[in-house]
Amino acid sequence: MKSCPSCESFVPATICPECGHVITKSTAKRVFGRVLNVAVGGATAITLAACYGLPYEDPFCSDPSADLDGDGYCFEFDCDESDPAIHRFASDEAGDGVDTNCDGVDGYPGDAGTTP
Amino acid sequence: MNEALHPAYVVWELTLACDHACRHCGSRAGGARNGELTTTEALDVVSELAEMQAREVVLIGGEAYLHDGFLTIVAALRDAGIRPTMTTGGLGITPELARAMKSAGIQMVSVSVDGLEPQHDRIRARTGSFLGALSALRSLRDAGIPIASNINVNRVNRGDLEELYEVLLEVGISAWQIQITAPLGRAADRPEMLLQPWDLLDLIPRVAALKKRGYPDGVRIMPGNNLGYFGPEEALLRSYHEGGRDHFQGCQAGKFVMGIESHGAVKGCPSLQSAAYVGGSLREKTLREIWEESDELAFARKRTVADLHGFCRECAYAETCMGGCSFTAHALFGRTGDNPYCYHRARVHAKRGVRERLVARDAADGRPFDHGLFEIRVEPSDAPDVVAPGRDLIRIGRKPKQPERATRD
Repeated sequence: MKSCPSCESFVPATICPECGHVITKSTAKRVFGRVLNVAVGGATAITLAACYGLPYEDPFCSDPSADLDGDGYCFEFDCDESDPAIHRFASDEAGDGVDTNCDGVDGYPGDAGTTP
Repeated sequence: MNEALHPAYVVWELTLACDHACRHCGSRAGGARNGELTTTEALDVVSELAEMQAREVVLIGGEAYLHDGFLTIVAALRDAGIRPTMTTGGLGITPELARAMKSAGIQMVSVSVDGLEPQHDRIRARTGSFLGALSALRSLRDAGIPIASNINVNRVNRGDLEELYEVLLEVGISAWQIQITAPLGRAADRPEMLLQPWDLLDLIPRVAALKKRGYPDGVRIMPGNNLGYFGPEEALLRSYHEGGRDHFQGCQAGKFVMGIESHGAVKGCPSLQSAAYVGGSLREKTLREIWEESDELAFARKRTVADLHGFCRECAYAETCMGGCSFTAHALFGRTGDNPYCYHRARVHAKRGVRERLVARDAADGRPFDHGLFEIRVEPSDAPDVVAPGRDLIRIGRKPKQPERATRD
């Protein structure tokens, strides 16, 4: 849908349903609502159903240039962009000295010897 | 069938057994259903979910941790490459259970907090529930699990949002989902509790203001699918990232979302009314068969603007919105296609000097995910609105037609 330059509402046709501003070719700013892009793990605008759902935390990297190790995660979801096996959603076996899931400990809190 | 459609996001009610009997509970939770899936059966379901490329499963109830196989199922989901998360009231989450959940692989937990302490405890029908929820959040946080919260907004708790945000921020949530109480289950018995459509004129701007506060605080505030729609605040509300231009995409039930009831019934969304939307049982058919072949799961895939009626049929956003949240609309009128819980719709009416009032007409059945019926009355925007005092808002206004299985009223 287009974006209204007057009130920032979404405009499905040529007249803004909120403020009545007429969208011409020169004023139109087309934006595309994102749809689920499961195949490439892209960003999504879906939130889960009322009461049961989480606010959808979009971990999949929306900026491919930031995903240096190609594991699909970046920024706060990936503490080591040199290793695709390390990201916030990886399993983390205690005892190998590696914080695989980026939670600050080797293994899980409460495991023996969890400081990496 | 569009081959791209599949159950990427699944909400799975592990058991209807619950340690609360919340006054707004859509599933009328309390006691377990007859014939709930065993742990062995549930592990087969995990395999089917993996085969259908589920990305995330939110475990719910009742209370999912009351299922004997809860931790085993969490671990199985993780091992299958599916992200296990949970939504809970939190009452039974001790530090020990939180650590066990972390070890099993739970990746995020959202604790329901329905207002400040007096309102939360009133809605949840249990003194101490609010403190229990906060305790759960802290235990989960200390176990290293990312924590979030969610709230059902209604006329009991709508004044609490801003102060509650501060409480939750202090606890350390990273995300907060805000939706509205729909007249489903026990909430259908309490029409005084429900928002009126014009209440969105106040609520939406306040949620938008909170969302702006959330960005620098590191809290991602997102509207649930029945809070909306459009208006000038839509992009701010609906976008995950600051500055985004996302908007409501319509009901995703049976497209990328699926719900599983604890005895194996499958529907396109966990909140949908069982009587109308269950497409089959996992004890009788495979998940793929139900997903691909049942009409009940396909309703949102096939419909067009011609399936809308009332205001929604003529709305500028009809083709995209398709009447908003399906279960909310169905809870009001027994069918989808017209939904007065809409911000844009309330704004249009307000400009004309009128508003829509929902008036209860028929009582609900008294079974999980049941609903009553309402009618819309259009009245002047300045018509009297006598709001019942606090405790009366949660009083049963219409007795269900059959006795509830469990009640603490």
